[in-house]
Amino acid sequence: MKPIRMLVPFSVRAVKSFAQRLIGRRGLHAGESRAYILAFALGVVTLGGFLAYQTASSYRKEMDNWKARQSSVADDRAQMVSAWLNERQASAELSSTRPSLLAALRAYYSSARHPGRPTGELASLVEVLDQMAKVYGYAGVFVVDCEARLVAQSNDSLALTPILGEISANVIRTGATRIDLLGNVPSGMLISFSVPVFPEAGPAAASGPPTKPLGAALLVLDATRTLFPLVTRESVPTRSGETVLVRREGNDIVFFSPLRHVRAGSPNLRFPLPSAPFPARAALEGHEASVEATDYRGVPVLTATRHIPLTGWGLVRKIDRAEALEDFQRMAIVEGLAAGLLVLLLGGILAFHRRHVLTRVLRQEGERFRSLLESAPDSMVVADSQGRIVLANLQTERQFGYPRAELLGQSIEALMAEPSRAEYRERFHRHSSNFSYQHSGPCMTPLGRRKDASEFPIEVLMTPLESPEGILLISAIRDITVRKQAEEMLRKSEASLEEAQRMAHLGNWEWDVVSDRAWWSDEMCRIFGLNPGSSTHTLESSMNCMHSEDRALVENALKEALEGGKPYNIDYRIIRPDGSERVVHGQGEILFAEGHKPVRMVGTVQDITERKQAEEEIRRLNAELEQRVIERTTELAAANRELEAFAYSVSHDLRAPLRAIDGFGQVLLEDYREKLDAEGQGYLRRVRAASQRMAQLIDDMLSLSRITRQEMLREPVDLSALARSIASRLQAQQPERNLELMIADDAVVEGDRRLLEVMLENLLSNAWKFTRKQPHARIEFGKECTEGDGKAVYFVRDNGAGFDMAYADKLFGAFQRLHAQGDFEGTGVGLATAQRIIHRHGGRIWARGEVDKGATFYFTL
Amino acid sequence: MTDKVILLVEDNPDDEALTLRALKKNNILNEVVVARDGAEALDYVFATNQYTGREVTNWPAVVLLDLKLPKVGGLEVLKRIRADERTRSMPVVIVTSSREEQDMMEGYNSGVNSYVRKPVDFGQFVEAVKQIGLYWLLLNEPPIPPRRT
Repeated sequence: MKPIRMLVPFSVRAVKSFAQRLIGRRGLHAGESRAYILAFALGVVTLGGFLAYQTASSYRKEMDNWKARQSSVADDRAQMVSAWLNERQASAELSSTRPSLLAALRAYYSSARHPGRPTGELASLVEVLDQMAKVYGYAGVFVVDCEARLVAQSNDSLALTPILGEISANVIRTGATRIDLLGNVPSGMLISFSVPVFPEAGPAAASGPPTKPLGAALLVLDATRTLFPLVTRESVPTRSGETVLVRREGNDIVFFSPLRHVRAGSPNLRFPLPSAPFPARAALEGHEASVEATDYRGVPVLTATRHIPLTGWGLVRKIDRAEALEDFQRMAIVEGLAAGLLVLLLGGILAFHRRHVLTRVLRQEGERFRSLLESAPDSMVVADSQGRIVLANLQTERQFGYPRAELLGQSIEALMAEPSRAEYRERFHRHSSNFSYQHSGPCMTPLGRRKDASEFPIEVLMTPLESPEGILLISAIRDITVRKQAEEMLRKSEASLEEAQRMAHLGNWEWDVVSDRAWWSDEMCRIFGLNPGSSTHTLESSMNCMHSEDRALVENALKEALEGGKPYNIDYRIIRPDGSERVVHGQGEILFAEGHKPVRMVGTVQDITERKQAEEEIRRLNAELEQRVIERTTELAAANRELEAFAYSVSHDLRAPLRAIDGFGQVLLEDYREKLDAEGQGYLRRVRAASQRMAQLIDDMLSLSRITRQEMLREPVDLSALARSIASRLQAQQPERNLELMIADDAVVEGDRRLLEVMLENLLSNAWKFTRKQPHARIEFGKECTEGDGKAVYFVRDNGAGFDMAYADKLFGAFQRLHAQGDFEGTGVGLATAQRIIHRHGGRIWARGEVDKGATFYFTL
Repeated sequence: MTDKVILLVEDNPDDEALTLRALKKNNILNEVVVARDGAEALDYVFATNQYTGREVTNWPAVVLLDLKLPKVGGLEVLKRIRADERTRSMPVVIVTSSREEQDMMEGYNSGVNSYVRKPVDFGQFVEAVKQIGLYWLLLNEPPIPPRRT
């Protein structure tokens, strides 16, 4: 009963939880969801990490790459610029040693002593200069004297500007070659190579004291057309890459080559030293660096710096960082997109898997739920708030006899018998309208109604369930017919127990040893003279009911039971509240918990007062009876002894006078015959006959008493053999008789041989006697088929005088005779003796006969 | 054998007379000594009191012993005879009215030689006495009493 009771709420819960899952209130466990999130996060982090690492490394590589490229370009350009400068300077120095130049100068000086007189040498100098300008593409070639005055210049050359004068003065003073930039607009800058002209050919006089130069030659080139293109030419086209030449002018740094990001024709950029861009400074300081920095525009760039040794210029090669990173960024974007795609893919896979698992779990749960629902021992019915059945299990079909299809959509009230519907409806509405009423509450036990309209007791447990479709109600319905019957039987059995107890005056009790609380049955209370169901009992209150003399006995029995676990079984007296005394028989035994601790005691008490009284009475009567038996036995023994003495005395004393009568009668007849007439002699004979008959009577009487007194010795006795020997004795006595004897074989019995012989002799000689007058006498001894109880019936049959059945009851009486002494002699003791012997053997004797048709004596042993 | 006496132990004078008559009728002429009670019978047998001087070993041919006797009963007399070495083999025949089994049993157990019931019919009685006389006085070889020492 119990497990099923527990199953009902369980299945209700199961239905509820399953339904909630179906409608998605809970889904997977939080743990399972976390696992998915974790897997996803792990995937993303791994991918992100890999991507970040990859990006960082490719970024670094890209940067290095670009820096290397800038370095390479810077190297190339610095080398070109240096080479060009060297070449130009060498060429200028070579020009200064030209003989024509020297000659012309000498001519100049000689003429100077002779002013205003152009000489041929001078004219040829100009020619030389022109030629030089033409060949080398100089914008102007000037020759000055030691005073820095113009000696000659090539045709079409620009004017010797004061700055050139200063430069040439400087050259003459130092005697060293120098290179100068002229102008501050990159688009219009000149570059001058100023060479001193010594009187001897070449600067070989270095070893000796410096010779004062004769003058100086100034070769001016258009930097815009010669030097700058070397710098600005981009061998690989870029959008922002540029090579810049810088130089120092006082405390400023000047960007003097054309700048890509500055409008052509703008003046040179000039920065005070501290605020100048770092690469420019580094280049000027002679560092060959490859760094990231901001350029003159404030834009982040990748730079490579070089130093031009000949001039002390710096060369900065740079490209916008943005451009350098363009490819990388593009690649990063592509990779990012790919990673995003991967993440999406992973997410998708996980989501798909989760969905798959969820579906499977739901399916499994669904199946489990279904099998649980189907195998539920109760009808499980889910109804909507209108009471329409939306779900029912197999048991519902079985229990109510509806096919499931018929159940669905039907009102759940159809499953209730008419009288139960109102209550059910009320309960249903209470549950469906008040969802907070979560507990199923007490079961209701209405009558259920099957499809065939038969009704049966059920128990219904209702539980509300919230669903998107509104409140559903789960009803667990159980057929409690068997329980009801069991309850009924229990009630009946309790009633009959109560009745039995009442009739038997037998009460029972239970005693909780631990809490000292006792429960008494109603009859128990009645026995103790209390009202049935009266107040609770304790050991103390129970003990108070005991008779003071028996209290120790009961306490001792209880103690032994509690300590030794021995059930007790005692009689004792109790005193009722009204003071009356009752005798009861009490039994009790202990129930032990584990560990041999007595926990409960149960027992019975039976009122045996009446029985005790009856027993007492019986005991008294028995004692009386015994006394009486003893008295009677004594009397009987005395009587027996008297009888013995009597018989003994009769045997001796009664016969002696008879013998005297008979003897002296004979003496008279013999000795006094002549004194007696015939009549007197006749009388004397009668006296003798009478005395002899009396002797016979005495003998028979004694033999009858002997039969009774004689001890019996049982052994197997062959009656057939006995009968034969008796018959032959009889025949020997009267050999003249013609008689047919039939003696059956195998009549073997258990008994006293001598007594049985006497019995058989009596019966046979009886037959012998009464067939005397029969011409064809026939005597038969045999055994008939058995009596009803399986005992053998023996018989002695003759065809003699027979008897009248009316006197059959007198046949076996002692000294009773049915025939006149004259017809058949006898004392009437023979059959009495036979009967007594048969009786002593526990048998029965009876006779059937008819006058002149013979008699049959039957006997059993 | 006529020299031997017959000891008749009988208290009833009728029976005594009838017995003597029967003996006479059967021509048994031996002397009959009658003892009228058990004590007297013992006196005779053991030669005491009035029979002092009689030879104990001079046995009667037969002792006809009644059972119901005054003073000392027949069975007691028999037991005493059988108890004494001198008389142990003396022929003793119980002649009595009783046919009580206990009497017969005790008689035989005490070593009686015969047990004869006195018939009431005098004819039969005479016949019985005749048979006893014939048997014990003629037919039977008597035992030899022990020698006098």
